[in-house]
Amino acid sequence: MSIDIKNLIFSYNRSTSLEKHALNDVSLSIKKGDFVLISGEVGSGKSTLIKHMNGLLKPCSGSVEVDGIPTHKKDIRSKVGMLFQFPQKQLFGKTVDEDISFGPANFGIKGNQLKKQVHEAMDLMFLDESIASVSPFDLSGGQMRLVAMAGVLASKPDYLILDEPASGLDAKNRKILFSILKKLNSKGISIIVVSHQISDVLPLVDRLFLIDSGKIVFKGSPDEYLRSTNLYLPDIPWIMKELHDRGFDVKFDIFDIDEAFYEVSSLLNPQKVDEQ
Amino acid sequence: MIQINDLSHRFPNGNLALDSVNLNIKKGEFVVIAGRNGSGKSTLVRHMNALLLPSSGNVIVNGMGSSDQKDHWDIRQAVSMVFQNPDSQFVGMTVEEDVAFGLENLGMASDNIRESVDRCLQFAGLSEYSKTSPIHLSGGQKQKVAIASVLAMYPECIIFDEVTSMLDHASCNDVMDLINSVHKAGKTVIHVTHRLEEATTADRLIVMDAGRIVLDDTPSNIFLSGKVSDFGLELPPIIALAKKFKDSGILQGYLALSKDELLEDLCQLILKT
Amino acid sequence: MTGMFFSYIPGNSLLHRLDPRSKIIGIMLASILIFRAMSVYEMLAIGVVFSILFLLSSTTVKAVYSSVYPMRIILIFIFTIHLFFTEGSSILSVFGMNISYEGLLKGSTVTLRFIYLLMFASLLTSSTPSSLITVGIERLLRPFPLKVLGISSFDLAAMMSMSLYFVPLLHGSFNDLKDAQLSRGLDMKRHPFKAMYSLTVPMIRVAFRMADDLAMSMESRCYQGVHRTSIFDLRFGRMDFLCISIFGLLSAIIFFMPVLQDF
Repeated sequence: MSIDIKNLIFSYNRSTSLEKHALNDVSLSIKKGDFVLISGEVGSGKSTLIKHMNGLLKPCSGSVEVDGIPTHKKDIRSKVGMLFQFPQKQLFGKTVDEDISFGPANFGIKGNQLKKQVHEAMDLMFLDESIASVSPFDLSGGQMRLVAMAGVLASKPDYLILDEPASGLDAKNRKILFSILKKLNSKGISIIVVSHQISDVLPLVDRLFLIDSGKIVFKGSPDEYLRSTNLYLPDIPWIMKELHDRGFDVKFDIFDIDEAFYEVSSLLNPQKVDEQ
Repeated sequence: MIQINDLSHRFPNGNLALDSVNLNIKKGEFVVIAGRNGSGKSTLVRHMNALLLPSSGNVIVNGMGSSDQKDHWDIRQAVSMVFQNPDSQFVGMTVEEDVAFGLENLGMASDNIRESVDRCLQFAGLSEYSKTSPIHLSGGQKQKVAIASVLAMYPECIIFDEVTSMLDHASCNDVMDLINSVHKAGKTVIHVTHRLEEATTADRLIVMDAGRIVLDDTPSNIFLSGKVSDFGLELPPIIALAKKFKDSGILQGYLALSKDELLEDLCQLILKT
Repeated sequence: MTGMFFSYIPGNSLLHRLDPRSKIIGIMLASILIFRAMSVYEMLAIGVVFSILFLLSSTTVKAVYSSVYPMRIILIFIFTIHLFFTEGSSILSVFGMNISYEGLLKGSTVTLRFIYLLMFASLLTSSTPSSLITVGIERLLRPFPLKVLGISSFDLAAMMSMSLYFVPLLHGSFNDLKDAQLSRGLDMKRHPFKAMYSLTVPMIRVAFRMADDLAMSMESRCYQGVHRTSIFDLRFGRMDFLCISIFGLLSAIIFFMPVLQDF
């Protein structure tokens, strides 16, 4: 059970003067239950890449398979849920319930099963049953976002792709979002976060892929990433690495503030004890 | 330059967005207004250039009250605003036309408009894009065009309403650099954000929550007080780490606000011991 | 190819240097001629005028061609309609439908008129940036009492230039939205009504939101829809007088050609 991408090449406006290579020989595999981060700058090709994972785009050459099914042969959208940036924009239903039912109903779920799935999705998003009959447009921006997310989860996808899910969220809501993602992941759903920002999500993920100008330039675990020499680092690992590079004896694959504090203090403390 | 007395704002749906806010912003100040989503920060700044009008209390800009409709255009010329969404604030078909838009409204002659536009584009580092359509620019570049567009009108004060919230990291730094140079050029700057790392270069940090001003001090003092987490905000990791060293007495003196400062402090400390 | 469709080609030809108002007036004169032209001579004369203007511009044949070519289906449609549905002496019969000599003539004339229009328009757009066309139209409209209709020429010009930026923007938003709903299993073939609904409702919200933001941005930059100046300084120079006069004279000659023939 996995999403397998092999030698994917894709260009927009194929065989016209405006042809633009967006992806160049990308290969990667995401197993069911994985939590991965796909990162890169705006225009690096990351959005193009994820649109291949649920068949919104079809490869020009190479292959994309979800659980062994090639995306250009069969519709796999019910397996792969996709949440775009500012998902509250996609809401349209007269009621929250109608909007959340839209996805699963399209995938052929009916009757009590549909009701059950909608209910479960709302539960996962901490949405109270009482708002089911309310118009989504009467809700706050934050709640609308949760409704949109429930609308994707209600189809019970095996893989959930989120494009810049934290954009525009304040610290508290970001924490809530990440705890929801962790919970979903622990239920066996693959989480694929796409973001230009690495620091926020890195502590959560099993693996990360860096993409630049349509090519994968790094794949590996967060530890491997922090130990790599030439990549952009979040602030805390950056400090630790600089200290390490200046010859101080500190571990540097750290992004936790407390851990960094402990590491540096223990470098200072033994000597302080000696002086005393 | 901006004085706000006992300002309350109630939305048509009955929600109280601002609850008796008092605030005085001096000429030349760099003020950051921070707060969680829905804390009232955007509503507050929209009162400062008469885009919103008080339900009660008053707002006085350069001696003009926003309740008097005939002063609105003068207030808006003194206090300009750049908005959140980089896509939906363009009027011109090319970058230079957009920058010219405000001056055209003021009825300035073509030659003078051209001169101001060129100067502002140069200040923002956008000269090479003057004939480009904004649609071909990146998010960060779009925001810089928007900043050049308000600069062209010679405002005394510019409000940046969450201008960085839809940008990626690199563009965000770019735009913050431009905001800092706007302040250095002598403008009063009011920057609304929920990212506290953007407050490090400010003179003053104001934290809002539930329509009230809850903290108002220098950024360092507020960071050290450790109160921001009560209001749904988070210290940037680097400042949180610096604060930990300072709280535990390992580091003394000023609170390091950037990663380079903190690294320098730590290196010196380790070498000393 | 589509990238060339009525687009501006930078240059410094005589046509480039003319005031946009001269060119807009020229286009209007040309349109009057084109729609009045009946005889082969008139059509030929217009062709000659176009050729002269074409030589005075640095426009390429390709640019003119690519402004006409995308309209081919409409042109063929117009031609066919006239071909089959004009009464007259039959010269050929296809699938039981009569093609008359008159139909052939009328079809050719009408189609040629449209082609001419497109060609003249491409001369304007290839030699004038769209911003200048907008300013030109605004200045020409200014003396007219549009106030009666509740708008000003400034509003009109602002709307024109904004729509040029907004249409591609809305198009982009629409594609994003379509991707989002397709990901939720939207099937446009099976449920066309539901598909329309799930796309239009959010689209209207997005458009309103954008319009709202835009209005705010305009208002805070002191837009009042009353007298405003422009970064573009339009100068109606000697060359403009000369060109408009010559063009006017030529038009008058062609205009009165049918009358002259009678003498």
